[in-house]
This record gives sequence, C-alpha cells and structure tokens, in this order.
Amino acid sequence: MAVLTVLVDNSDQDHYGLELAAKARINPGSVYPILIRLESEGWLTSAWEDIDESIVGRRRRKYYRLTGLGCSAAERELTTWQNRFNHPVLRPGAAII
Amino acid sequence: MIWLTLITLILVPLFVAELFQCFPWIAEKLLLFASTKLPASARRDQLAQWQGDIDALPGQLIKVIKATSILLGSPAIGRAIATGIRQARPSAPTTPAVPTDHSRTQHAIVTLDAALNDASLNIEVLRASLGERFMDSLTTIERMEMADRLAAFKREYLRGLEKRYEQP
Repeated sequence: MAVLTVLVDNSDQDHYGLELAAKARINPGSVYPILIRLESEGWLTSAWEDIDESIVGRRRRKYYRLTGLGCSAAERELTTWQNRFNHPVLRPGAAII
Repeated sequence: MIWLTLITLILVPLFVAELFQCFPWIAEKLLLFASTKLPASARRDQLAQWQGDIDALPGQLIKVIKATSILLGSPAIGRAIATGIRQARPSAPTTPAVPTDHSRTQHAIVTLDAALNDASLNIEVLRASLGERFMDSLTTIERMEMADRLAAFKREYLRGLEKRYEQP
C-alpha cells in the first residue's frame, strides 16, 4: 500500500526500484516483487533509461510509471484500504496462516 | 608496543581502505547470487535492473547493504516473477485462461483459484471455510497476497513431504 501511495501521489513521474523503496520506507528486497506483480497486472508500465552508460558512468535504470488502468485501480484500492483502516475487519493473513 | 602502534596507524587504515574498495565488488557478487534465485528467463533483465539501481547509490557501504536486502528478498522476487510467467503462459496446466473481458477482481480470483488448485484445494473450498462475505470483502491486492501465501505454503508442504520420504 505504501508503494501504491507513492505511485499515486507522483503518478506523473517515473520511478525506479530503490527510489520507490526509499520513498515508501520499505526494504529494497520487498519493492521489486510488488513492482513485478503490479506490472504483470497491467497497473504499471516500465522502460529502460535512455542514457549512454559510458558517459554517465553508471548502468541504466528501469523506470516504472502508473498506467491509466493502474492509476484508477490504485486509487480505488487505496480508498478501500482507507475505509477498511477506519473500520477494521478480519485480516486475511490471520485466517489462513 | 611499537609494533602495535604501527599496526594501528598503518595497517588498520590500509585494511579498511582496501575493504571499502571491495564493497562494490561484494555488492555485485551479492546481486549475482540473488539472481540465481530467479527463474532463468528473467535473470538477466532483473540483474541489470538491480545493477542500474545500485550503481546510482552514493558511497560504497550502502551498495552492500542494499544488495544484501535485495538478496534477502530474492526468493519473493522469484515467486512474483514465476507467478507472472505462469499467468502469461496460456497452456500452463494449473492456470486457467483468463478471458479478456474479466474484471481485475475476477482475474485475481482466477489467480487465487490457480494457486489453490496447486495446493490441491479450490476456491469453493476456501469460500466454504472462510465464508462468502469474507472473500468478497477482500481487495484485489489482498487476494493476490493470499494466492502468494498459499503457493508458498504448498511449496513448503511439498518440501516437507520430500524430506520425509528422503529419510530412511
């Protein structure tokens, strides 16, 4: 949810993995599965940075951006989440694990 | 005493400086090792993405710290990629095809159903045990998380079975 919040708040910007992890305050190892899953669901689109690696002195990054579908779906999820937070119900993890 | 002073003043700073020089190399090796936890088809792209992200970080030690975090998260990354590959493969035996006119929620339910089939269960069993209202109250992301957890549970269960049968 933290990642979604960052993505929605900056929906006009491109983001790379570690930047999102820092903004969402989660471990870098946790942000990549989220990005992969959101991209496979069509919520995110990704593109490699267009730079000359020898000039810039670093390797290119992969940038992510919310799609139109992702933006509306993420806002819906965040609203649902917010409502749930205000009126907590049984969490799924507690029922299964 | 003189030797101790010499060691403290010369060798320790040298050693520390040398160690700091090694940090990018260590980070690179950690990322390489992390990539071995991923499905072979996605290894190269994912490694390039990590390398690009790590390269831009200032400092040396932070590279190792972030690479370690990525290494720790690599099994989950591998699972996410494997799930994506399974969903993208129409002929996969355990994943039913998702009609294009399905909503995202229905897609998530089908994904969850596929994971449950993997675990020798199905969505109806879950609905019966957890209740229709509970299932309907879940968000898409929660359903996806449930699917992940069940798939992980199944893997652990199978691993446990394998171990049991391996024992004499």
